[in-house]
Amino acid sequence: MKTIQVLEQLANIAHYNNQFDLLVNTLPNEIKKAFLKNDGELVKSLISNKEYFADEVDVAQI
Amino acid sequence: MQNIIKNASLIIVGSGIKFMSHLTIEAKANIEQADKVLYLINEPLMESWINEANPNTESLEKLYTNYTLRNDSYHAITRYILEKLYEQKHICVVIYGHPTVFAKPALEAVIEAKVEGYYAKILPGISAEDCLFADLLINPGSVGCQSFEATDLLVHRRKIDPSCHLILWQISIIGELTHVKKIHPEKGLKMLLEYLKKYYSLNHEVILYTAAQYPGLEPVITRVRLEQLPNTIPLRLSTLYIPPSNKSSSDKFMLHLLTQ
Repeated sequence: MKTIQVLEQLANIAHYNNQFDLLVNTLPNEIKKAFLKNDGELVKSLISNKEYFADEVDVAQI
Repeated sequence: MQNIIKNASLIIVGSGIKFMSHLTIEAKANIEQADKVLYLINEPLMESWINEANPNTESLEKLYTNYTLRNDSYHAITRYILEKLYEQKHICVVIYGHPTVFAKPALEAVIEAKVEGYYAKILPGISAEDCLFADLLINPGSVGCQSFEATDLLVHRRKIDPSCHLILWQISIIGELTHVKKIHPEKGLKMLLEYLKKYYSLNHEVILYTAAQYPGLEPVITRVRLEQLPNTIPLRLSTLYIPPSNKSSSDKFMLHLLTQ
């Protein structure tokens, strides 16, 4: 299963549901390791190394 | 009453912070049904999902890199959104987080679109601040809450009330007015410490907070003493939370006037 599908399904499952761990186990190995380390930035960079600036959408008015 | 243009509209939606988990039903419907979807997203899976959900999509990311100053980029994004609207289409713009919370371009587009007689609306999304309130167990109404962009706080010497919750945004790019590929906040954090020292003791505990971006992940919460702030390396999406350091006294005379 593609990473996007796994994470889309995870969004629909309560954390205590048995399906949760089963789904995490289907992630590609490197992404799964980063996921289990709770390293969201690493998960993102493993999915794509594209640069995004959309978290900068405001700037001080001088 | 002003006539509303019927064959075109502008709907701005927030995608929230956590992939898919925070996307509302109304945001999803507007993305799927728009004539054209423009987006500013900071995450590859959300970008893929948008491209699957609607065949006519376009990233606004390119407009960031055309300008050195971020303010110029944001102005160009506003102009581009309006340009597409003026082609008489139903436009949906997707913005990461909440579309008007510390996000300038779409808000300005909606204001102008309304003046021009278009149906234009902003649909709320979950912001980093909403996640912070939930994860740090904070009720912003308990003692009031101040929320500033970190650079703005310093440049305008905003007044802090240390009896309130204080939230400082974009802490990792403090002092930066241009696009930042690699963060170097050391100098800005030192200057921030100098400013905050006027209001808080050096051993006051502060929290660097980063919301979880994927379902199943936990937020990153780092507690440090204020004096350690310049030695920390915030994550790119970190927000600084400073808890109240004292209690404000109540004005008994005011209370009397209000309740008599």
